[in-house]
Amino acid sequence: MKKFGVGLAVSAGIVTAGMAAELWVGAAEVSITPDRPISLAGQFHQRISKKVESPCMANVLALEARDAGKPAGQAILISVDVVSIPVEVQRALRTRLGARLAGFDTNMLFLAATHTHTGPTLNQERFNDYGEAMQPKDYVPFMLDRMADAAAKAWDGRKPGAVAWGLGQAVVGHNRRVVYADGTAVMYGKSDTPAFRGLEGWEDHAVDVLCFTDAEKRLLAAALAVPCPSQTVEGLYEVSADYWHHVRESLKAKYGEPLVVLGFCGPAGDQVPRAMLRGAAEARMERLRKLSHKQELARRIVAAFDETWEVIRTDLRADVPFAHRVERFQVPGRKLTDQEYAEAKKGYDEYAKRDEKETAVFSRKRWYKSTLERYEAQQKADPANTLEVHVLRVGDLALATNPFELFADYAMRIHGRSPAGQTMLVQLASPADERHSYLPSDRAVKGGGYSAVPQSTPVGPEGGQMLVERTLEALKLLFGK
Amino acid sequence: MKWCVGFCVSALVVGSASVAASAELWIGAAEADITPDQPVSLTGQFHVRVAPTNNILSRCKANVLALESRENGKPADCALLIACDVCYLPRDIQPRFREYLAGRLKGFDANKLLLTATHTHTGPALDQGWYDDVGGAMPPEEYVAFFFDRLAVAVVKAWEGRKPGTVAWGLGHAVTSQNRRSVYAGGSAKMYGGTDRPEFRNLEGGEDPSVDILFFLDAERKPVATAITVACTAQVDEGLSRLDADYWADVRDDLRRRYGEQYVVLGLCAPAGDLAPRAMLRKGTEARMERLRKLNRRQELARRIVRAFEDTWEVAQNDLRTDVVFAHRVERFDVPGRKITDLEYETAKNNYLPLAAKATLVGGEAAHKNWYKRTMTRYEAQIVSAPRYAVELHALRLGDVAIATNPFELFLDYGMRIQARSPAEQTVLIQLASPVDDSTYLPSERATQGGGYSAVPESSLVGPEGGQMLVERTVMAITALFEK
Repeated sequence: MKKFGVGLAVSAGIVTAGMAAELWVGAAEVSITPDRPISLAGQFHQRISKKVESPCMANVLALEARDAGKPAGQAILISVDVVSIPVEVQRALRTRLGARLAGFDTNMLFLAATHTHTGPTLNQERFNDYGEAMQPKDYVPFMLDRMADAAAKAWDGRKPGAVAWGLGQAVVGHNRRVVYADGTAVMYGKSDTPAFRGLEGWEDHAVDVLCFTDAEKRLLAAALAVPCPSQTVEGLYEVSADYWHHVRESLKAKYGEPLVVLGFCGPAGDQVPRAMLRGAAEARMERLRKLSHKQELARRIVAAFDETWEVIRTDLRADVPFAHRVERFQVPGRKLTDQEYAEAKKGYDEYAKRDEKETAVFSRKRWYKSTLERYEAQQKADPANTLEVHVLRVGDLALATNPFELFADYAMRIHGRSPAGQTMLVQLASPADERHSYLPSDRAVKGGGYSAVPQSTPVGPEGGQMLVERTLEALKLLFGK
Repeated sequence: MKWCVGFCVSALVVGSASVAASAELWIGAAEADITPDQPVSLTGQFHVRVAPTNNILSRCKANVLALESRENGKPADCALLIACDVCYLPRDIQPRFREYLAGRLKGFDANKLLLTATHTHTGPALDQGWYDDVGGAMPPEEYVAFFFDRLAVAVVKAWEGRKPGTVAWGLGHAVTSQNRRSVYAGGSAKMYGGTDRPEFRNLEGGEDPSVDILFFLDAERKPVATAITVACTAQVDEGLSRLDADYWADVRDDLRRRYGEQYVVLGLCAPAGDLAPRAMLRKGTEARMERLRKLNRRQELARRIVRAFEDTWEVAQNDLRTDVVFAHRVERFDVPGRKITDLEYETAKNNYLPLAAKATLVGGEAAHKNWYKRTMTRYEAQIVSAPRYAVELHALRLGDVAIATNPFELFLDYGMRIQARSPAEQTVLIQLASPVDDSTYLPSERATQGGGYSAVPESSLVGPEGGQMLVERTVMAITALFEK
């Protein structure tokens, strides 16, 4: 039996560290929106874009710590307006940049998805028919070219700068799992029924703000972590960066067009940017403000940024402890029971009777089939999921990634025990396996429903807790506690 | 005994049999200073605290809102809503105050008056509660007489001073509270339990950052009063031995600087039995931001609430109404009380006996002793008859807004159920309001499973069965007000 666990990781960590060092900062942004129709990822059915509502972007932040003039730590962070990052995309970008960026260790780069549901499909096998649209196998090289150029621009353009960090609040995400009297849970379930008992879990209304300036203290880049996926317009047949577009436009209007805004999604596997309760009251306020819902969310995020920046700019630091640790390890995959296999088989057989030309049928079949394959594979070996977790220290702030749609309970556990002054968590980042998906909490697994059923979850609570422990271990190493 | 929404043991409806059409709204408001000039016992902790008169942090107030609708010049319905800077209202206070006012409010139905508590833990005690004595402070009955006297003046002023006015409403947001019940591996829960332990799994329930705001103006559209409902008890400074209205004092001061010294600000608490105004997570980060802002925690919460107020007023003022549908429904009914199991009885007894045997009780021991004793008494009583708990529920309609009260420290899950099924466009829920029975938490199902203070039998006279009945009755009452 494969052994997992803290201290028994398959791979050792990779550390670059520079303590209390001068910080060099570079930033760049690029549109990754082609001028042709593309397949949009995020729903079971295929959607080919009819127009561009707002461009999908990749935003790049390059950081280097220098100790007595010598490089002592580095990172390239890239926020991408896509639903998720396939592992081969990050690998391919690292390969391209390996030759281009002198002195940069490409292990120190990670991509993170905003989880917009109106961004490009990156996996050719995702759908069986793309019609006349640009296919993922053609789109991905286009995107990689652009991202590589932007990463090189940010890295090569790095200069001495300063950093400040702080915590704001904005009500953006709501817990989307509805629990009923019989203990079952349904994602987006109806709540206006006598059987409704409550929303399953927590909502996190914090906004982590990380600002970078040049040596003259002009804002260069801002990284914001909002624990809510950007999917307010998730059903559109249009390219859209969702609320992040409005956040970026608004911040650029206030702080200068060159400002690069990285939108990160905090742990939000059980969150959604729509009101699960009080929908009518919220909608009325949006009408009174003459704003769409995503504009309203952007307004709140920008307000949180403004009021945070207002105070943290008095605490700008040019010399900060900086470290970047990359941990690669495996966690146990979620084991399927015989009953779960039987249910998946039943689901698969139902869809197998239907015409695959209907793209949703193709997707559902694929969804069930992967579960059947997992069950068959676990007869030979325990399931495992390979993770790559990045943990950075910038002054008193820790930034820690994970590749899942991570339920909020795990974030709470990390926050509760993190030794850092401020801990910024980023989900859907730095994939290292073909199968990262929702990572449900213990209580979600008990309740069931999409986002907690086996089909949606290659990793379960056992792996989730291991992720928590490994993240905390890495944080303790960086913060010396 | 069968408990069912349609078969409640007692169900008395007072007030509107039918909802009137849009009517002219008359508005009055006043504030009473309920801070005594003698040392007074404070409620909110298990140990006795006496607040001196020479070290008041902020004065405790009662803010009064008087509403009357008139159709063709004739009174149609009314309400007197009073927000008090106290921890809770003992069961006899509201009935006694209504009697105290008898004859003083011309044209007002005393049933339509309701008192609410902000749940400040540094407010004057209106009864002796769990304490064996009040440490030499002003006797509670003497304070009650003072409280009634001051409050009556303000109530009469508000009611007699009512004039045609204008109303607006809106929904804002402020992150003020966090869920305060920590859950551990194994399923146990603890209020304020440490989240920095490896066995910590999650905070038990959700949180509610909504801020419901009602704006009241006079006929010239000058601000008269506001009612702000926040899912956060006013207990930032809960351990002090000083009189203090907590963050509501800072909110009121700030709004008065902006809108005039006469502006009346009612601070109301939404369902928040499992919420607290302290950071359960990110404590260090929150503290740093407060240091950078040069604010203490209660000032920071006040800042967020005032920001939500301004943000909401900015647009709500574009939707002012002079004629609104107004109706006020009062329902009195019983819900099943929480039954004590044999094991719970034994646990209470095992905790009670050592305390009862002590010659001298120190700190909070006397209060704890009485707390456990009550559980034993309840167990003995339930052998004779099933426990019941009396509820007086007020449901109001003000335009498109529903307002509904409950007397509990109500866990958020129940608030969610009402919000989800309310037919009103905006629903304002107020806890710790209009009590006619003893003060108590009302824990959710998941809380009773987890245990811990606020969910154990000692803390809760009513459990999930009664809680769901409260939900059903509240939804029914609101629905009746919004039926077309």
